[in-house]
Amino acid sequence: MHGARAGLLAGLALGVVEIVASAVLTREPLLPFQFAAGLLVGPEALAPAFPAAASVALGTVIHLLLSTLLGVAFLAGLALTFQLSARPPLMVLYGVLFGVTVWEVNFLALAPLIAPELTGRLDLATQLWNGIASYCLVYGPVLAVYVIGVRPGVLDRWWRADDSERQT
Amino acid sequence: MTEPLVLAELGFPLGIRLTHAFNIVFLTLLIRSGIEILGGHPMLYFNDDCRPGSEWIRFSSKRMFRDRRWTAEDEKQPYTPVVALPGRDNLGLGRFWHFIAVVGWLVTGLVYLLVLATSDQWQRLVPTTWQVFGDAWDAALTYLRLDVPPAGDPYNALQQLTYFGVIFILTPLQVLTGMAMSPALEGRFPWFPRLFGGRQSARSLHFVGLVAFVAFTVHHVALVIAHGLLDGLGAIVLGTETATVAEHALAVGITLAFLAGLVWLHIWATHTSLRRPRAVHDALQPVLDPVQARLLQPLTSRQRYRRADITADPRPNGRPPRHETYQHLAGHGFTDWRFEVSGLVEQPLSLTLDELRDLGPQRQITTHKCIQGWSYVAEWEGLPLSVLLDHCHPTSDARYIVFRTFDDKWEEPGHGEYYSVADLEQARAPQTLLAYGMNGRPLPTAYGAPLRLRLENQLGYNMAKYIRAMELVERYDDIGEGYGGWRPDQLHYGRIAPI
Repeated sequence: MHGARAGLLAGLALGVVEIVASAVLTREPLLPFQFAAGLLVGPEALAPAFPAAASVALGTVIHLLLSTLLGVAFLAGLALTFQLSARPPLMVLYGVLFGVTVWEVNFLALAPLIAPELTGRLDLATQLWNGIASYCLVYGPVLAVYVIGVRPGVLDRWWRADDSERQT
Repeated sequence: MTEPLVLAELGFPLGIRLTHAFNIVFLTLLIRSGIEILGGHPMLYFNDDCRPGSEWIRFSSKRMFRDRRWTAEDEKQPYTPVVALPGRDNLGLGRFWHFIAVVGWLVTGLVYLLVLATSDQWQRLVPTTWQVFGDAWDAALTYLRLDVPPAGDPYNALQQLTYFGVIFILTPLQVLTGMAMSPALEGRFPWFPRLFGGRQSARSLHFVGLVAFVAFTVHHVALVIAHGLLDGLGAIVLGTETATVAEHALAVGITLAFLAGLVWLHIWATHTSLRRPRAVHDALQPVLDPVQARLLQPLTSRQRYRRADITADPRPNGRPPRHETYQHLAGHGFTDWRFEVSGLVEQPLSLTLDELRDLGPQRQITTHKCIQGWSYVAEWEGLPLSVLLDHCHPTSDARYIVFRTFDDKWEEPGHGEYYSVADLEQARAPQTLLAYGMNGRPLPTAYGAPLRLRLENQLGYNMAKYIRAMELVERYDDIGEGYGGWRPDQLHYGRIAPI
């Protein structure tokens, strides 16, 4: 449940940043929606004839669904490796690394496989910002900040306890 | 005029292909057994004091008791056999597997380097112009555009730099940081672990190196797939750069068979270690002991730490004995305690604590290194064992010293009292002590009062605490289970522990 919440929150933040970045860099604020929709319907989602409302609705659902699932994966990964109680800077690093991994999997592996036509639509600046930067600096860190704030399932805040508290 | 060398046409010679396969085998064994070792003390530090709470990362969800004293053994985190070899808190066997894999990996690496050096293959990996950095940047940008850069000869510059970094920087770093954790090497060359910021920093870097190897492997496989899996397999399995369809099928078949064999090897190693630990112990120890005995055991400690380095309130390990006699002696300040020296000696001895002190004290500030992974610095005061040996005169057939203790191991009833065995040569080393003082005070109960052994080129478990007697023997195989110590007998630790 915490993973889903974290993923939803991080997905919303990522979506906003991507829309702004697309508007500034390509003057196409709908591009992130079209890309997300394209994962399901293919390159038609990027065609001018594709209804904007449909790409916004479909793109939003797909984007949030994926970000929620990935949020669950992030927290599951932390739990399986006993990292839910990691120190805050380390947790942020985990978030950044998770962001890189998600970007790699999404754009370097899944996108070319599912919809190879989509990849040619991004210039380097857009790819850098909408890809690496927003995943590393927004999506992953927001997930991390959620865990730092909530610390789900953590019994012992060892990084705060002093010795007298721990060893009597 | 000579034709320029086209590296892509060289293909991979058999030596490279075989070492690549063996590298996969040993690296996977190293990673899984390394995870087992990490579970012994699932925390990593950048300080050699290892004070609770000062770790930068931990891999455990254990919560230590707040209402009673806990020891380092309570902190162990057993990992599942799915990721650890063998898993389920088997530190001793995990170390055996790790060191066997180290030997295999190093031999593989040396053969690989030999093949590189005696052929043109080294040119695949070693950049020969500074242009490689600019080209690598271009290749990185191409990947960022979600495209694959043009093939180099045979690698693009980014691939070449990555392979170079892994083989010539990451691998030596892993070997050196692993060596820096050897108490024998650290004892003899205390400056060596300091190159990495200390023993615990070396341990942390060793772990980061493991993560880097895993990350590299994932990306390496991903890029092989991106550049053409079938051609990649044809090259590394069959050595051909232009494989036919039939050769592709053969390469895939061999790869699948190899991977199946690898999985089987891991399942077999894990299953056998968990079901028949003694058999694995018996099989691996004779391979490792001679290597350790020759390379590390002879190194004598020359540690000279400063008083300022001493760790405040160091971590204790194991719980004090509940032995009635011990309780009685401790209750009377060990005034009735006597230390018995017997066995293959011309002059058996029976000494009180005061008599031991009168034989001549020695002080030394050294690091204590536990097999679990933690450490601390302390000042020890005690009698050099060599002085005691001069008083009792060992006979010519004495080879080992067995240290008997009051430690009844009440936590694990039915497994006998704690004992450890030291080589006679080791006992004569300048810093080998029978310590009765620690940090300027009588040895505290938690650290082994009234007397404990200090073998400064060994891990802590070979330094018996709560000592009551020592016996010189020619052989130890008729004592306990015959493995040369309580932990070797019960937990399958090595008899010698210079690493």
